[in-house]
Order: sequence, then C-alpha cells, then structure tokens
Amino acid sequence: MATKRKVTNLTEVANITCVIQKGLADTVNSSLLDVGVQGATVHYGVGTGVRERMGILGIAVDVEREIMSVLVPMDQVDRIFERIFLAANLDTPGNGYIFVTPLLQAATYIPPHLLND
Amino acid sequence: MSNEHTEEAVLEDKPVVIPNITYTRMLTCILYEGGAEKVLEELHHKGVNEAYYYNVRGNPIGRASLAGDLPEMPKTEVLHAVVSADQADYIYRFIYETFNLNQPGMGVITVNRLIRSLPNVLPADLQYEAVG
Repeated sequence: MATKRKVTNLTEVANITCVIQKGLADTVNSSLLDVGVQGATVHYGVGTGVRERMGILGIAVDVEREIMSVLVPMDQVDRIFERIFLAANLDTPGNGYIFVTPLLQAATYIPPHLLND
Repeated sequence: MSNEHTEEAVLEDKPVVIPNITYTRMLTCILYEGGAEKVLEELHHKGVNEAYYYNVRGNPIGRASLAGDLPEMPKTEVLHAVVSADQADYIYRFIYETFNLNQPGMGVITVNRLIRSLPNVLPADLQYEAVG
C-alpha cells in the first residue's frame, strides 16, 4: 500500500538574489554558511558593467557575472541581505547589486524532527 | 571558513551604510529568440544598470523543435531587470515592443514586486561598451 504523501508549504519566505563579480560566489556562500544559511544556488549571467578593452584592437570582453539566489525566512531578510552586501563588497562601484523578492509559498524536504516540532 | 568582511570587522573600522530601496519592481522576460544583449545596452542608456540575462533551454510555448528530434542550440534567454516602480510600466512597454511580444512564439514578460534592493553603481571613470 502506498504511503500517503504530504506537501508542507512554507510561507513567509523571501528569495534574495545578488549579481556579483565572477569568482565571488564561493566567498559569499562561505559567509552565509558561517551563519547557518544553506542552499544557495549560483549560475552565470551577463550583466551591465565595465567591459574591459583587450589589446590594441580593443576587443570587448563579455561581462560575465555570478548570480546567487538563496531562500531565507522573511524575519531574517535584513540580516542576510546585509551579510551578502558586506561579503560581496557591494559598497564598491561596479561590484554588483542585490534584491529581495517576496514569495507566496515554498516547499522542500523538511526533516521529520522539525515537522514534529 | 572565516571571512574578512564580517559585520564585526566592518563595524570595528567604520560603519557601512547599506542602502535600502523599497519601491522597486523586477521585470522578468523569457525571450525565445534571444536578443537580450541589445536590450541590456538600451536599458543602460535609459539609466537602468540593474539588469542581467542568461541562456536557458526548454520548449517555447506553441513551437516544436526546429531540428526535429535532433538537439537544438537554445536561443532562449531570460532577462531580469530591477527598475523603480514608477518606471516599471515604461520599461515593461519598451521590452514588450522591442521583442514583439504581441506575436506568437516570441516570449513572455512578468512583473514582480520587490521588498528591498540596491542600485548598481558603476565606476564613473569607465564607460560601458556594447558588444557589436
């Protein structure tokens, strides 16, 4: 007999996305792991920014960025937002930006002992 | 792993003011035919630097693979732009018209409300150059 499957919906969740310099995602991720924030995802993208000139022909190089997304509880948004801001040096021009999207609901695996609590 | 940019380290040196912009929208655009690079440049000229895109694969709504059963090089791009709420309608319309989103098989555009964001400040002494 099949076990009954249940979806546990999480509410009061936000998605923090940051567009940062290529190579910085690991640093930011480590900074988040230090405070117990897990599950960040990283992918590459092309953003607006400084295009370096290479050689005498002035060949433009694509502005490749790393984009990091992490789901966080709504009550911790400010704290994690500020941590990413500092870890990614976003107070320096050209280093990137960050934004927060509120989510209506989210779902993932939740360990049974947490569900029982 | 330690990180030199912890809140404590920064607080010891000097306090950092973290901008808190709350009145913004995120435009998300799935472009089945690509072309986001050009729009990125146009958005920059309109003062929107908070935009990026990436390539994805998938099946466009209402269109089968052009190469039959063979693998197809994906042209689809996803464009995201963070814009102030009062500019959102204008930028939305600009993207909609640029990509002919009123035609079938061109793409989709959506708008999301954001609760906090940051401007992308570019270095003043360096110019943006579009890829030709």
